[in-house]
Amino acid sequence: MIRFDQVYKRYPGYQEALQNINFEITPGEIVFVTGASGAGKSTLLKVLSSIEKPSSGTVMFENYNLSRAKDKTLNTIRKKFGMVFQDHKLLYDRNCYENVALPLAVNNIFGNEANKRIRAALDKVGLLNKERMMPITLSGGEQQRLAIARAIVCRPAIITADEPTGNLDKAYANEIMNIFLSFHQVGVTVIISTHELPNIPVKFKHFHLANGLLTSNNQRYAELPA
Amino acid sequence: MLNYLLNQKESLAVAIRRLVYSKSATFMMFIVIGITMCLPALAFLFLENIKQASSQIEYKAEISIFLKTKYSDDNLKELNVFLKEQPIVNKIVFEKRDDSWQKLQKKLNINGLDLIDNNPLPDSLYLSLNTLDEKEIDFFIEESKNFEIIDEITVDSAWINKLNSILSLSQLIVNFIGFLLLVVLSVIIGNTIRLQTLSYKDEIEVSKLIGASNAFIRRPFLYTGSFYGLGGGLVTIGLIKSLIYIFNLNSMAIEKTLGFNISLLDLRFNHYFFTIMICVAIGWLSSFFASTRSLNKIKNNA
Repeated sequence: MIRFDQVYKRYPGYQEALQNINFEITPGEIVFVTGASGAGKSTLLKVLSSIEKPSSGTVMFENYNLSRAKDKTLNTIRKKFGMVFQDHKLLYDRNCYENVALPLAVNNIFGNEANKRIRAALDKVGLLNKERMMPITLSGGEQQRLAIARAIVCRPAIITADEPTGNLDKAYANEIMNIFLSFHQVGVTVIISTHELPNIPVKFKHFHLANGLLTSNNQRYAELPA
Repeated sequence: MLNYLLNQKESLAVAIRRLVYSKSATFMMFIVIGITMCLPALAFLFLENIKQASSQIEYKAEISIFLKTKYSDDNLKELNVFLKEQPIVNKIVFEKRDDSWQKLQKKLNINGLDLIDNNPLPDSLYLSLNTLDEKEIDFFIEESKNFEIIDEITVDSAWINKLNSILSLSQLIVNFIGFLLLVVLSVIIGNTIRLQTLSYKDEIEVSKLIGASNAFIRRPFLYTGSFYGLGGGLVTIGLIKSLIYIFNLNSMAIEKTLGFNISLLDLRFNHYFFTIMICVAIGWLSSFFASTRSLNKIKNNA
């Protein structure tokens, strides 16, 4: 479970990126964080996935208080997250297979087990036939799928994705969203920041941010797309 | 434990891949380290050879006692008795001034009386000693000076002590220069590793974001630094071996002219092993400090 309790985040010299944020996310939920550019979506995801510490307030993840956790603990916590970044953050001097292998090495998973997991992750996102290709040769949608494969290869309990469909056309965006839905359907908690709510046929939680403030915190069912 | 070893293997593979990826830069680093290390190693090589040569010289301490031009036979007998009583004196040879003069003229192949009117040499005693102990010799000389017939006493072994002093001082200078060059070496390797951390900034950032510890990220850089040291050390050994070979090849012709051996003796295995170990240790340490500093600067930047 993730709980935000009166969380504020200030960057030196800037206004508050997050103000008095309170919410709870239970395991297995799918959450969409919406808002305009600069609303605080990325900051929320960074604080949530322990990349950044809040300036004040409490962020609880399982039994860890992320606000007070030491670097070593934060490293342990980060390993429980699968993160997909807006700019993919792929390593362009390594091929697809090696990109996906990186989190496994960090988690001390090598050999046959690693090979099995890498191929499974690449297969899941439809890139198994491109495992030896360099990321630069992939399309935008494929690069995003590769980033997802890297995020899921360690079988994380939580996946966070920062505007994963921001730079993609509608067909690719739907494809990516369906991949996230498939993880949600097997019990993985998925937290996605996006400009617009997608049409997805499941119950989801929705947080809307404006100027760092949480303006809506509700659950809704979306309609199946026609 | 197995995971730890597999992790080390993975880091080693990453380090090798990076070294191979930038082959020419890696080769240049080996050359720079090799030449830098070669300077103190060469000085050490020459010192070792001089030491070796000086240790092979068979020498005994000898004392020359030059008597005054006028003295009585009783005084000489008295001195002779004293000298025979001394435990450090092994052998006494008395040489009359005329004999010395003859020997000198013969040795220099001159007729001395054409040059000067009188024989300038005094009667003298040459003593072979049982000891090289400076304190004992000094004490003996002080005692001997009480005899009025003695004009001057010289210790013929003093040069070997001077040589040893010079060698000790040279050793100190070589050690100091060696230390300075090791500092230079660590700065060179550290700077290279720092630049490498900047080239792999993206990878470091991503690794940090997915929960990699600093130790995990630093490990390939430590291997890289150690490889630089190893490669540099091997270049040093190659250069020294080549120099010894070339020197000895050319010295053969010179030896015939000079009539004595001037060839260089090679260093021992432990010297070479120590050179490589020093290079590897410097590589590892400078990489550790450089990569730690860089890692602290590279923040998470999702």
